[in-house]
Amino acid sequence: MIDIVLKGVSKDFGKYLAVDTLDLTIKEHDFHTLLGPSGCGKTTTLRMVAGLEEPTSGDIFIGKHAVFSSKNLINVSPAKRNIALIFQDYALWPHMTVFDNIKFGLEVLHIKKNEVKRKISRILENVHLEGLEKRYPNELSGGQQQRVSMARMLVIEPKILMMDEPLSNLDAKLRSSMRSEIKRLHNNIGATTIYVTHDQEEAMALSDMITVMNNGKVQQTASPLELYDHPENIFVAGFVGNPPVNLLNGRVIKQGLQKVLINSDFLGQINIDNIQNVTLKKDQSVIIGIRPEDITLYSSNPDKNSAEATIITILPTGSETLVEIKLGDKIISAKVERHNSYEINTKVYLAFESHSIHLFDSESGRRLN
Amino acid sequence: MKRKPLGGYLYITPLLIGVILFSVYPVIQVIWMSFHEISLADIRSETFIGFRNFKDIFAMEDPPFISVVWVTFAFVGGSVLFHVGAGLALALLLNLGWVKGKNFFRNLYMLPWITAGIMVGYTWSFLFEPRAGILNYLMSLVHLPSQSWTADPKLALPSIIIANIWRGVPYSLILETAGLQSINMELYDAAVVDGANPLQILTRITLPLVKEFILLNLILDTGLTFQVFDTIFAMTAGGPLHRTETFSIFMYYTAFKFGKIGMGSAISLLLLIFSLIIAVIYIKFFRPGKERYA
Ligand SMILES: Nc1ncnc2c1ncn2[C@@H]1O[C@H](COP(=O)(O)OP(=O)(O)O)[C@@H](O)[C@H]1O
Ligand SMILES: [Mg+2]
Repeated sequence: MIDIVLKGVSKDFGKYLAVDTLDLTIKEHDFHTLLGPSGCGKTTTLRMVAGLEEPTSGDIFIGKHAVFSSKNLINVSPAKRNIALIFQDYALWPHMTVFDNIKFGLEVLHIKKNEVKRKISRILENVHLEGLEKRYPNELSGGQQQRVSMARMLVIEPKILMMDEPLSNLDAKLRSSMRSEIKRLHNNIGATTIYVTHDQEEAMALSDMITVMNNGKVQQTASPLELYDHPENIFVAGFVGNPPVNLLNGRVIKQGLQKVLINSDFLGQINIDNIQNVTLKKDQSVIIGIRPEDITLYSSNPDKNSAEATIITILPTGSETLVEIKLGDKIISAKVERHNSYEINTKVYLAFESHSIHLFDSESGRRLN
Repeated sequence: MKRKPLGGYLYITPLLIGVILFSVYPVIQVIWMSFHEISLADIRSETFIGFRNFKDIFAMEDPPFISVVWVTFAFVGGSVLFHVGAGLALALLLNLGWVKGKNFFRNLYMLPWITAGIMVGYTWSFLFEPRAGILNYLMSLVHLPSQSWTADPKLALPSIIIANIWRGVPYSLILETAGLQSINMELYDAAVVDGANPLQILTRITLPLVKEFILLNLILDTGLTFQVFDTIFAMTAGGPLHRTETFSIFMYYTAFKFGKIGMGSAISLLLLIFSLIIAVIYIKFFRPGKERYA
């Protein structure tokens, strides 16, 4: 197995700690995404795995071999790590044609001339760039440049592919078509892929596994659906999902066996099962998260305990409709079917299943259920 | 709405006046004077003489015109070659990631350039001084015979070239550093990941990307070196036996020692033409624009 393993990897730039004791395992053949807001250390992490940035401390393994170890003074050069990389701004060599850009890596590997030609024409076909080989990078559109960087990465047939926000410079339509192309490509060649993005939808759509990062720290590593259904903390719950999860304050009334009764702002008392092995104090403050699609709206009160709210905005997207409602002094959102008869400034009643609630400790931000 | 072009011209007027006053007018004046006989003693009288100034220059025997051309080209060629070569090498060195104290060295290397040319000349005269100079002292340490350097017809030209190289390297260092710093670091990273060695990165990535800066450096430095006067004048004043008499020294003697202003202007004009020809050769050689990139 050629897994990529990071153990306690840190990187500081002077005083600034960009990556903080990161532990991470990337399984062979997986499409593994580093997801997080800008500045959280994704690029730095990727560059450390590639060998372009030297960690301040920690160990990095590719397969059985350490490629970096601060204790054992190991630092394998990027060329020997059998990786290829797409940079955020593509980093195409501006003085070389498309053909020469792709050829460079093969020449360095001393591959035979006719072999080089064959490989390049095959890869150009793969990324739909036939006929553009004589162009210079600045004569190409953003999408075409992106394909060239893709071709340059693929042509050396690396074991590990790395992509740093490869789609972030493209317009929305191109982005979604490239997204499916990247996924197809990964399915075809099966190379282990580390993908960096700040776009949670992109991460969800592409990945086998996602590691959410914030402030240089891992928040959670899980499959896309696991991440969505069981966010480990408030940050992950808030970052993954669009529109974002609704968060409300609450207090513990009493804890039973593996369950807890809480009093939520505006929603009243809620009984939550499957509480993790923690002791909660009476009156301890908690945060209740409900995803917009887990809320059902009724125009008349389904039972007298339902909370009452006022519709303030209706946002149809075509496939579904998002409704923003005012609940007490909070504005929360709910997803409803696309054909509906809601009107703004009218009253609605909320209903939800208590098992769809995400409960967090408001101090540590950690998940409780 | 119709655009009023007048506003635009108004904005560039100050610059235009400056250019006409300080660049265009002097050049036209020099061309005009080249075709006249004007003597320093009677500067008001200007007689049109056609190409006679040029004929006289080419026919000159002391020094022969060809000697001035050779000295000038040796001086400019030697200086520019080492300016650009050493400037680029230093810039590359000071651009390496692991080199410490970059800014200190970059500033230190500026000292020769901000020193007045005449001071550079006198300073090097002391170093080259046959009896008290440090150069002959160093030679004696390795049991080499003393030389008279700037007074030696064979060594005088190399001596002034060395002094001028010392002075001009910082200029190239600055230009080449600007060039190197304009390169996106990720272009190197991409090559490193591909497995390119430092030499391949230098020849395939770095040098092609600073090509435009090297060209600019060559053109500007050639122009500046053609005009060097003070350093040479302080060290050798063109001697011995005209062996260090460049165009600028020759022009000075002709115009101000022998009082032939018209002929001096003709020499300046020839110098200008040479500079232009060389600039065109550089540009042809480097072919910028063949690779179209921003
Ligand atoms: N070479 C560097 N020198 C100093 N600070 C850096 C350097 N590279 C990155 N940083 C800082 O480290 C943090 C993480 O950066 P980065 O890994 O690029 O974040 P991301 O890719 O997640 O947006 C940022 O705050 C950034 O300013
Ligand atoms: Mg980044």
